[in-house]
Amino acid sequence: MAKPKIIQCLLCPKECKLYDGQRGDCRVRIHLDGKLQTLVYGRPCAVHIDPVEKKPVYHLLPGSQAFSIATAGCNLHCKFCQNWEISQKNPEETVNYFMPPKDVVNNALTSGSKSIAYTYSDPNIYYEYVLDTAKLAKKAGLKNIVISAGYINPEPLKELSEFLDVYKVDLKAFNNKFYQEICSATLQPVLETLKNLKKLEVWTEIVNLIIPTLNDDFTEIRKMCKWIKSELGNDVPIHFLQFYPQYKLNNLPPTPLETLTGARKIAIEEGLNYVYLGNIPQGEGNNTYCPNCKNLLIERIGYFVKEMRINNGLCNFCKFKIAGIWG
Amino acid sequence: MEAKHSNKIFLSLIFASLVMVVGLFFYNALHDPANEPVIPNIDVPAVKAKIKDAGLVPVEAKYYKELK
Ligand code: SF4
Ligand SMILES: [Zn+2]
Repeated sequence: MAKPKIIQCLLCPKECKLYDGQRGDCRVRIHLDGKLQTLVYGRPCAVHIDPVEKKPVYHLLPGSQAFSIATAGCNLHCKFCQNWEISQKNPEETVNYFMPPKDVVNNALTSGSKSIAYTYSDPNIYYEYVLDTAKLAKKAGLKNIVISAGYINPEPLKELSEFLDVYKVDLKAFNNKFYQEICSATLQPVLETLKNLKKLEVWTEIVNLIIPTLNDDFTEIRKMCKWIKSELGNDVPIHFLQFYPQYKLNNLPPTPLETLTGARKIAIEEGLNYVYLGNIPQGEGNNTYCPNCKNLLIERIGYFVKEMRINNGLCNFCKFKIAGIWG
Repeated sequence: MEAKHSNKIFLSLIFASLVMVVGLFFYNALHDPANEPVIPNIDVPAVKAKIKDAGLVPVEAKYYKELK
């Protein structure tokens, strides 16, 4: 009997090996008829228009709207996933729209959005859809934002990066055990993605959701901030987010405010220029300050921008260059 | 004569066990069972029908290779 054919997906570090009819760990890539096929090309199950601040992305066109799409599936299985109702489902189990790349771009333009955000689940797993949409969007003058865990192999990242403006990486913890036990992944490939994004010159923001008892150790947070500064530089914004109990982590309390402010203090002590707190209503952690003259440059209330004192990318007060994409 | 013969058998047995132990050691070191795909028992036509019923149209993906 002939040996059954095995196909290996090379998109993400999981590198799934698949027999005919078998799908990868992300649920949306399947071996059929001797080829690897994606089941979600042009089939988003979530389509929304969000303030770009909701992503959160704070250094790209503040106050603008991002046309946001997602398909079913994910290559991680985080026990705290906010979007598990789509990310941990097969595409046959979600209600999907038919929206090919050109329709995404047209809808984004009609809605007055300045960017397209590939988000909610993880855009790495609907790679081909993102790539084709991003190419058209760039031609149409829209920005492309990927909101991801950064669990992708270097080569596909490089190809996509040409069309990207922003890559927001969810750095889940600075701890491999956490990645393995809570997210079904590993830390090192995410760090590689971050270093590659720097080389590829894609504007990067980092999110770190702080979960009580699991990744809230201040020594580890300090280590992470030191790594960011030495490997990526001090202009990479970091957003510490408050955890709320959900999905499989219903037994843990929300992150105390003191933990979040403690993490912010550490990041500032370590020399990071833009340190934010997310999922909390208001306060210093929502605002952007000039790293040079320390004046308040962008005042935010929730996802909304109240005041903006940056002109042509420069601080209104001292003309210091503020890192980001402002026009 | 008898003793010499059983000695030979004994030595061959020891040699055979040694070969097995060393062989197993190398097999384990080189084969991580986690990396060995389990041959699944999949009803491919049923999978295809389910995909079609859900209105999904498979499109060839990028970044993969066939294992020899
Ligand atoms: S993208 Fe999906 S199929 Fe490909 S290696 Fe990752 S989890 Fe496996
Ligand atoms: Zn200034």
